[in-house]
Amino acid sequence: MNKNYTGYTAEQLLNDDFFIHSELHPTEETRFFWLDLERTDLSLAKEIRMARMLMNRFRQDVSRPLLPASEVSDLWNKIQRENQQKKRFQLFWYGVAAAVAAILVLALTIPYLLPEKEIDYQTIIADLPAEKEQDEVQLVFSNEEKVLISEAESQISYDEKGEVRVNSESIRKQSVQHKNEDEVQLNKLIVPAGKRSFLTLSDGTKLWVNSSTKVVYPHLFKGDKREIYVDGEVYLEVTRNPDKPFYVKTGQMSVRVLGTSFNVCAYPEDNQQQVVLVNGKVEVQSQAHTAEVLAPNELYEYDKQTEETSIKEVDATDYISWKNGYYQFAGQQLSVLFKRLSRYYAVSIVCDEKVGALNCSGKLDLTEQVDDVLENLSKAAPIKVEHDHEQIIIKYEPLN
Amino acid sequence: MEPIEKWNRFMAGDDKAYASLYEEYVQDLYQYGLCFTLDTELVKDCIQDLFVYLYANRSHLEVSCQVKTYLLVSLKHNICRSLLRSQKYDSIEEEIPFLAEMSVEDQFIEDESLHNETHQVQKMLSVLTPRQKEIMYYRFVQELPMEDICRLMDLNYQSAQNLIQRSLKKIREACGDLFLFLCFVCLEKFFIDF
Repeated sequence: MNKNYTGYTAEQLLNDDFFIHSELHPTEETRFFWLDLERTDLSLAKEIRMARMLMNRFRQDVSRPLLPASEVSDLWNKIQRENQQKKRFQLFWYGVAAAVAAILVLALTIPYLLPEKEIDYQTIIADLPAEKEQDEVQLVFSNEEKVLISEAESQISYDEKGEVRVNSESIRKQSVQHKNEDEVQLNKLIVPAGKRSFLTLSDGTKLWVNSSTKVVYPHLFKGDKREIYVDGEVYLEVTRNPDKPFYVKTGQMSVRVLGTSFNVCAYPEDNQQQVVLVNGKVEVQSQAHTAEVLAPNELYEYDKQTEETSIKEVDATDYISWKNGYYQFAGQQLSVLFKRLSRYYAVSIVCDEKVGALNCSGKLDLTEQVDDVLENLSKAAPIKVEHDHEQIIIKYEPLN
Repeated sequence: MEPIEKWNRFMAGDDKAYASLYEEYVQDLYQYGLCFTLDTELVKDCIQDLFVYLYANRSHLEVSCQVKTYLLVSLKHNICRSLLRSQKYDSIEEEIPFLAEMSVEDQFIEDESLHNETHQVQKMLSVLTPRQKEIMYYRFVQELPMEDICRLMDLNYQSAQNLIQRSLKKIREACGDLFLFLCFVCLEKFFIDF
């Protein structure tokens, strides 16, 4: 306030912070300060009045009505409401974003979470030509191309690339199969009665495939498990791979193994389906039953009619002898034995109930002709062998 | 509480400070907004948008001037955008003219006794450009510090000073007679007051 305002014009005053402040917020002190100046300096007084006038006029001119108190609170309520809505909206979008993220994660992981699509083997088997129409072993590729093998004992092997060799000859048709690498290409092996086959899968697993048996398997094992399907009888020596369990599925059973040797006998026309473990460990599950773990020399049996399962101790070699060209049995009903022989030799063997109920033990050389085998059997059992066209009829005849 | 302290509390999440900022500035903002348009609803909407924006972005607002200046600038921006969108003004025009719609019959002049003078005052102000009016408004009505005015109007300090000086000189030159008249009115009032 020591400032000397002598000679100030109105313009200068209006550019002076103290003057403006004094005008807008006058205090007793400022009032007297300016009044004093106006009394002592008349030319300044004129300028002061001018400045004051101009400023007041301007303020009046630009003065605008106040917002009525009710509208002040109305506006505030509106602001509050919009803030809440925005918060909810934000939460909503956080929710949407979370849901979208969850769906994405699910969509990406579902293929891994869900069990792999079950293959409908029954349909595949039903679509195959009946083996009775053929007396040759058929190897059917996924593109439905076929290889016919006339030998009684054949060897089919897949290497780790899925290339197939039949009796040590490579099959060029296999190249056609590689058109889609990602798709599981199922091959089918149909072994008719009277024929056997030795199949090596791409993982090195060995299958002795008995007569009248169908096997469905992929040319390469993709995914996190190895799975094949069997209708009939196979003896397996599974290559060990703990990361990729091996599954043998049959009409009623599922056998899970890591690496072991076992026999699966599951002919669709038989009431019993059997698994016999030679060594290692397998887990068998039938239909709705809980899974059972087998120890070596244990026989697991599922009865289709009673839908019951049982486990008993056996000599496993009896059940796998067929793969070595002989048939070893202990306390076997002749009806079962004849069924096996008729499959093995592709002949029809008929016997009456009395004969069928007979039990016998022993060993038969399957490399011999069926007539010789039966002839040998008739020396040990009270039976007589007769030929009637294509049929072999077994009759009861007490031993001499 | 100092405005900046209130502001900082609001930024830290204090809802009471937020309400208090509204209480303190709503009238200034409303009156300021009406200098750009006479549409009271539009001004209220823009004030609402401004406070909603502040609330939603409270964690990352940067204020490098007076709180009041910040609010005025923001409101001006909102109003200009709304007006330009409504195509009341040509979008080529960068600024919405300040006090553009002033008229003699201005509805805001309530004091009947001022009516006689209104025309004279109008004449006085009419010599000012919208920009000159605006700078005087910040100076004489909102009492903003010069540095904030410079920022608001994108001027350097000297230019702002010159702008005010020129405005005032213009008025004096154009309305010398008016000044005398006004002075009499003023003196009359002055003596009446005392």
